[in-house]
Amino acid sequence: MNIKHFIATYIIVFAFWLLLSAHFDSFHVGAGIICSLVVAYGTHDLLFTGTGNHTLTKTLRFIAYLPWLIYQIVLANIDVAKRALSPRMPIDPRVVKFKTILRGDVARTALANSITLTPGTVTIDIVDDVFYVHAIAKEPADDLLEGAMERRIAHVFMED
Amino acid sequence: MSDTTMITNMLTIMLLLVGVFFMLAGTIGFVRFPDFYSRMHATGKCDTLGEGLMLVALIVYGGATFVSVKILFLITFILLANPTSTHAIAKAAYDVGLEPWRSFDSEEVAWLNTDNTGNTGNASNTGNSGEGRAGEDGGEGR
Repeated sequence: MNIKHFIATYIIVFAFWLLLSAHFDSFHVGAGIICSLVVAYGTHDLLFTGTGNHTLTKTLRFIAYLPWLIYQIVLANIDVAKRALSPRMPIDPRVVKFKTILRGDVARTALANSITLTPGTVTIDIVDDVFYVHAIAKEPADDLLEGAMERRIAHVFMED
Repeated sequence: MSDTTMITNMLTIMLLLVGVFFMLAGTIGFVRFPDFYSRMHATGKCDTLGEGLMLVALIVYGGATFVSVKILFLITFILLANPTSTHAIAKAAYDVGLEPWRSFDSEEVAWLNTDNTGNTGNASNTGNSGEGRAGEDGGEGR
Protein backbone atom coordinates (compact mmCIF):
# COMPACT_ATOMS: atom_id res chain seq x y z
CA MET A 1 0.00 0.00 0.00
CA ASN A 2 1.35 3.36 -1.05
CA ILE A 3 0.93 5.59 2.00
CA LYS A 4 1.29 8.83 0.02
CA HIS A 5 -1.52 7.88 -2.35
CA PHE A 6 -3.64 6.78 0.58
CA ILE A 7 -3.26 10.13 2.37
CA ALA A 8 -3.92 12.13 -0.81
CA THR A 9 -7.05 10.09 -1.52
CA TYR A 10 -8.16 10.50 2.09
CA ILE A 11 -7.84 14.29 1.94
CA ILE A 12 -9.79 14.49 -1.33
CA VAL A 13 -12.55 12.15 -0.12
CA PHE A 14 -12.87 13.95 3.21
CA ALA A 15 -12.96 17.39 1.56
CA PHE A 16 -15.71 16.08 -0.70
CA TRP A 17 -17.61 14.83 2.35
CA LEU A 18 -17.38 18.24 4.05
CA LEU A 19 -18.53 19.93 0.87
CA LEU A 20 -21.55 17.71 0.39
CA SER A 21 -22.63 17.53 4.03
CA ALA A 22 -22.11 21.23 4.87
CA HIS A 23 -22.64 20.35 8.57
CA PHE A 24 -19.71 21.03 10.86
CA ASP A 25 -20.92 19.54 14.16
CA SER A 26 -18.94 16.76 15.80
CA PHE A 27 -21.30 13.95 14.70
CA HIS A 28 -21.17 14.72 10.97
CA VAL A 29 -17.45 15.48 10.89
CA GLY A 30 -16.71 12.35 12.96
CA ALA A 31 -18.78 10.15 10.67
CA GLY A 32 -16.97 11.78 7.74
CA ILE A 33 -13.54 10.96 9.19
CA ILE A 34 -14.46 7.28 9.64
CA CYS A 35 -16.23 6.88 6.30
CA SER A 36 -13.42 8.65 4.43
CA LEU A 37 -10.90 6.26 6.02
CA VAL A 38 -12.83 3.23 4.78
CA VAL A 39 -13.43 4.66 1.30
CA ALA A 40 -9.84 5.88 0.94
CA TYR A 41 -8.56 2.42 1.96
CA GLY A 42 -10.72 0.82 -0.71
CA THR A 43 -10.06 3.23 -3.54
CA HIS A 44 -6.60 4.77 -3.14
CA ASP A 45 -5.15 2.62 -5.90
CA LEU A 46 -7.96 3.63 -8.28
CA LEU A 47 -7.54 7.39 -8.03
CA PHE A 48 -3.77 7.37 -8.38
CA THR A 49 -2.76 4.56 -10.66
CA GLY A 50 0.89 5.47 -10.24
CA THR A 51 1.64 4.93 -13.93
CA GLY A 52 1.57 8.50 -15.25
CA ASN A 53 4.19 11.17 -14.86
CA HIS A 54 3.99 14.97 -15.23
CA THR A 55 0.53 14.80 -13.68
CA LEU A 56 0.64 18.42 -12.55
CA THR A 57 1.59 19.77 -15.98
CA LYS A 58 -1.11 17.67 -17.61
CA THR A 59 -3.74 18.87 -15.14
CA LEU A 60 -2.78 22.52 -15.66
CA ARG A 61 -2.80 22.11 -19.43
CA PHE A 62 -6.19 20.41 -19.23
CA ILE A 63 -7.59 23.33 -17.22
CA ALA A 64 -6.19 25.67 -19.88
CA TYR A 65 -7.92 23.51 -22.51
CA LEU A 66 -11.36 23.82 -20.86
CA PRO A 67 -12.28 27.38 -21.95
CA TRP A 68 -11.71 26.42 -25.58
CA LEU A 69 -13.84 23.31 -25.08
CA ILE A 70 -16.68 25.34 -23.55
CA TYR A 71 -16.48 27.75 -26.50
CA GLN A 72 -16.73 24.77 -28.84
CA ILE A 73 -19.75 23.43 -26.91
CA VAL A 74 -21.52 26.78 -27.39
CA LEU A 75 -20.69 26.71 -31.11
CA ALA A 76 -21.92 23.11 -31.32
CA ASN A 77 -25.25 24.02 -29.77
CA ILE A 78 -25.78 27.00 -32.06
CA ASP A 79 -24.90 24.70 -34.96
CA VAL A 80 -27.40 22.01 -33.94
CA ALA A 81 -30.10 24.59 -33.14
CA LYS A 82 -29.63 26.11 -36.61
CA ARG A 83 -29.89 22.75 -38.33
CA ALA A 84 -32.87 21.67 -36.26
CA LEU A 85 -34.85 24.89 -36.64
CA SER A 86 -34.03 25.66 -40.27
CA PRO A 87 -36.96 24.70 -42.54
CA ARG A 88 -34.59 23.12 -45.09
CA MET A 89 -32.79 21.13 -42.39
CA PRO A 90 -29.31 21.22 -43.98
CA ILE A 91 -27.95 17.85 -42.87
CA ASP A 92 -26.00 15.27 -44.84
CA PRO A 93 -24.84 12.64 -42.33
CA ARG A 94 -21.88 10.40 -42.92
CA VAL A 95 -19.55 8.13 -40.98
CA VAL A 96 -15.85 8.87 -41.25
CA LYS A 97 -12.93 7.07 -39.70
CA PHE A 98 -9.44 8.24 -38.97
CA LYS A 99 -6.37 6.90 -37.27
CA THR A 100 -5.38 8.64 -34.06
CA ILE A 101 -1.90 9.60 -32.97
CA LEU A 102 -2.84 9.44 -29.28
CA ARG A 103 -1.70 6.50 -27.19
CA GLY A 104 -2.94 6.98 -23.62
CA ASP A 105 -6.39 5.84 -22.50
CA VAL A 106 -7.19 9.15 -20.81
CA ALA A 107 -6.06 11.10 -23.87
CA ARG A 108 -8.25 8.98 -26.16
CA THR A 109 -11.23 9.35 -23.83
CA ALA A 110 -10.69 13.11 -23.78
CA LEU A 111 -10.55 13.20 -27.58
CA ALA A 112 -13.67 11.02 -27.93
CA ASN A 113 -15.66 13.18 -25.54
CA SER A 114 -14.36 16.38 -27.13
CA ILE A 115 -15.42 15.12 -30.57
CA THR A 116 -18.90 14.44 -29.23
CA LEU A 117 -19.14 17.90 -27.68
CA THR A 118 -17.80 19.90 -30.63
CA PRO A 119 -19.97 20.97 -33.59
CA GLY A 120 -21.48 18.33 -35.85
CA THR A 121 -19.62 15.20 -34.77
CA VAL A 122 -20.33 12.25 -32.45
CA THR A 123 -17.84 9.49 -31.66
CA ILE A 124 -19.31 6.07 -32.36
CA ASP A 125 -16.51 3.64 -31.69
CA ILE A 126 -12.78 3.26 -31.16
CA VAL A 127 -11.25 0.10 -32.57
CA ASP A 128 -7.53 -0.10 -31.80
CA ASP A 129 -6.20 3.15 -33.31
CA VAL A 130 -9.18 3.99 -35.48
CA PHE A 131 -11.91 6.41 -34.46
CA TYR A 132 -15.35 5.94 -36.05
CA VAL A 133 -17.11 9.30 -36.05
CA HIS A 134 -20.61 10.19 -37.19
CA ALA A 135 -20.69 13.67 -38.76
CA ILE A 136 -23.93 15.46 -39.47
CA ALA A 137 -22.64 17.20 -42.62
CA LYS A 138 -19.56 17.45 -44.79
CA GLU A 139 -17.96 20.53 -43.20
CA PRO A 140 -17.73 19.18 -39.61
CA ALA A 141 -16.20 15.97 -40.95
CA ASP A 142 -13.60 17.91 -42.92
CA ASP A 143 -12.82 20.10 -39.89
CA LEU A 144 -12.33 17.03 -37.75
CA LEU A 145 -10.07 15.25 -40.24
CA GLU A 146 -7.94 18.36 -40.42
CA GLY A 147 -6.86 17.33 -36.92
CA ALA A 148 -6.62 20.59 -34.96
CA MET A 149 -8.39 19.16 -31.92
CA GLU A 150 -6.25 16.04 -31.89
CA ARG A 151 -3.13 18.19 -31.79
CA ARG A 152 -4.58 20.19 -28.89
CA ILE A 153 -5.28 16.99 -26.94
CA ALA A 154 -1.83 15.67 -27.79
CA HIS A 155 -0.36 18.88 -26.38
CA VAL A 156 -2.44 18.58 -23.19
CA PHE A 157 -1.33 15.00 -22.52
CA MET A 158 2.25 15.66 -23.62
CA GLU A 159 2.19 13.21 -26.51
CA ASP A 160 3.33 15.60 -29.22
CA MET B 1 -35.62 45.82 -4.64
CA SER B 2 -31.99 46.88 -4.70
CA ASP B 3 -29.99 47.19 -7.90
CA THR B 4 -27.84 44.11 -7.32
CA THR B 5 -30.85 41.87 -6.74
CA MET B 6 -32.40 43.16 -9.92
CA ILE B 7 -29.24 42.52 -11.95
CA THR B 8 -28.96 39.04 -10.40
CA ASN B 9 -32.56 38.28 -11.25
CA MET B 10 -32.21 39.54 -14.79
CA LEU B 11 -29.04 37.50 -15.33
CA THR B 12 -30.77 34.43 -13.89
CA ILE B 13 -33.79 34.85 -16.15
CA MET B 14 -31.58 35.40 -19.20
CA LEU B 15 -29.47 32.30 -18.54
CA LEU B 16 -32.59 30.21 -17.89
CA LEU B 17 -34.20 31.42 -21.11
CA VAL B 18 -31.12 30.66 -23.21
CA GLY B 19 -30.86 27.25 -21.54
CA VAL B 20 -34.52 26.52 -22.25
CA PHE B 21 -34.04 27.68 -25.86
CA PHE B 22 -31.22 25.18 -26.42
CA MET B 23 -33.18 22.39 -24.74
CA LEU B 24 -36.14 23.23 -26.98
CA ALA B 25 -33.93 23.30 -30.09
CA GLY B 26 -32.49 19.93 -29.07
CA THR B 27 -35.95 18.47 -28.64
CA ILE B 28 -37.14 19.83 -31.98
CA GLY B 29 -34.00 18.40 -33.56
CA PHE B 30 -34.72 15.08 -31.88
CA VAL B 31 -38.16 14.99 -33.48
CA ARG B 32 -37.14 16.31 -36.91
CA PHE B 33 -33.85 14.56 -37.62
CA PRO B 34 -34.19 11.51 -39.87
CA ASP B 35 -32.36 8.73 -38.06
CA PHE B 36 -30.93 7.51 -34.81
CA TYR B 37 -27.39 8.86 -35.24
CA SER B 38 -28.37 12.39 -36.21
CA ARG B 39 -30.77 12.43 -33.27
CA MET B 40 -27.82 11.70 -31.01
CA HIS B 41 -26.37 15.01 -32.22
CA ALA B 42 -29.44 16.90 -31.06
CA THR B 43 -29.72 15.29 -27.64
CA GLY B 44 -26.03 14.83 -26.89
CA LYS B 45 -25.01 18.43 -27.48
CA CYS B 46 -28.06 20.53 -26.61
CA ASP B 47 -28.69 18.78 -23.30
CA THR B 48 -25.14 19.48 -22.16
CA LEU B 49 -25.28 23.22 -22.72
CA GLY B 50 -28.97 23.59 -21.91
CA GLU B 51 -28.68 21.93 -18.53
CA GLY B 52 -25.34 23.64 -17.93
CA LEU B 53 -26.78 27.11 -18.53
CA MET B 54 -29.81 26.44 -16.34
CA LEU B 55 -27.59 25.23 -13.51
CA VAL B 56 -25.34 28.28 -13.92
CA ALA B 57 -28.50 30.39 -13.62
CA LEU B 58 -29.24 28.67 -10.30
CA ILE B 59 -25.68 29.38 -9.12
CA VAL B 60 -26.08 33.05 -10.03
CA TYR B 61 -29.39 33.18 -8.20
CA GLY B 62 -28.14 31.31 -5.11
CA GLY B 63 -24.87 33.19 -4.71
CA ALA B 64 -21.75 31.75 -3.05
CA THR B 65 -23.22 28.96 -0.93
CA PHE B 66 -22.51 25.29 -0.41
CA VAL B 67 -25.42 24.47 -2.67
CA SER B 68 -23.78 26.46 -5.47
CA VAL B 69 -20.61 24.41 -5.14
CA LYS B 70 -22.69 21.24 -5.34
CA ILE B 71 -24.35 22.56 -8.49
CA LEU B 72 -20.90 23.30 -9.91
CA PHE B 73 -20.02 19.64 -9.34
CA LEU B 74 -23.26 18.66 -11.06
CA ILE B 75 -22.21 20.67 -14.12
CA THR B 76 -18.83 18.93 -14.15
CA PHE B 77 -20.45 15.50 -13.98
CA ILE B 78 -22.97 16.34 -16.70
CA LEU B 79 -20.08 17.56 -18.86
CA LEU B 80 -18.37 14.20 -18.35
CA ALA B 81 -21.37 11.86 -18.40
CA ASN B 82 -23.34 13.31 -21.32
CA PRO B 83 -20.82 12.70 -24.13
CA THR B 84 -19.89 9.36 -22.59
CA SER B 85 -23.48 8.10 -22.55
CA THR B 86 -24.06 9.51 -26.05
CA HIS B 87 -21.04 7.54 -27.19
CA ALA B 88 -22.25 4.38 -25.40
CA ILE B 89 -25.70 4.52 -27.04
CA ALA B 90 -24.26 5.29 -30.49
CA LYS B 91 -21.76 2.44 -30.15
CA ALA B 92 -24.53 0.02 -29.19
CA ALA B 93 -26.50 1.01 -32.30
CA TYR B 94 -23.38 0.70 -34.48
CA ASP B 95 -22.56 -2.73 -33.05
CA VAL B 96 -25.95 -4.18 -33.94
CA GLY B 97 -25.46 -2.87 -37.49
CA LEU B 98 -27.86 0.04 -37.70
CA GLU B 99 -27.00 1.97 -40.86
CA PRO B 100 -26.78 5.75 -40.84
CA TRP B 101 -29.29 7.60 -42.97
CA ARG B 102 -27.88 9.20 -46.14
CA SER B 103 -29.45 12.06 -48.03
CA PHE B 104 -30.34 11.38 -51.67
CA ASP B 105 -28.34 14.28 -53.08
CA SER B 106 -25.22 13.18 -51.25
CA GLU B 107 -22.26 12.87 -53.58
CA GLU B 108 -21.08 9.63 -52.00
CA VAL B 109 -23.74 6.96 -51.75
CA ALA B 110 -22.00 4.00 -50.14
CA TRP B 111 -21.65 4.12 -46.42
CA LEU B 112 -18.16 4.37 -45.01
CA ASN B 113 -16.28 4.93 -48.22
CA THR B 114 -14.73 8.06 -46.78
CA ASP B 115 -11.64 6.30 -45.52
CA ASN B 116 -9.15 8.71 -44.04
CA THR B 117 -7.13 6.17 -42.11
CA GLY B 118 -3.48 7.07 -42.17
CA ASN B 119 -3.97 10.63 -43.35
CA THR B 120 -3.46 12.05 -39.90
CA GLY B 121 0.26 11.59 -39.90
CA ASN B 122 0.90 8.33 -38.09
CA ALA B 123 4.09 6.87 -39.52
CA SER B 124 3.45 3.23 -38.61
CA ASN B 125 1.84 1.53 -41.59
CA THR B 126 0.99 -1.82 -40.07
CA GLY B 127 -2.34 -3.20 -41.19
CA ASN B 128 -5.01 -2.27 -38.68
CA SER B 129 -7.66 -4.69 -37.58
CA GLY B 130 -10.42 -2.10 -37.84
CA GLU B 131 -10.16 -2.19 -41.62
CA GLY B 132 -12.53 -5.03 -42.41
CA ARG B 133 -15.22 -3.67 -40.16
CA ALA B 134 -17.32 -1.78 -42.68
CA GLY B 135 -17.87 -4.91 -44.74
CA GLU B 136 -18.66 -7.08 -41.75
CA ASP B 137 -21.37 -4.77 -40.57
CA GLY B 138 -23.14 -5.01 -43.88
CA GLY B 139 -22.71 -1.41 -44.88
CA GLU B 140 -21.42 -2.04 -48.36
CA GLY B 141 -24.22 -3.84 -50.11
CA ARG B 142 -26.80 -1.09 -50.20
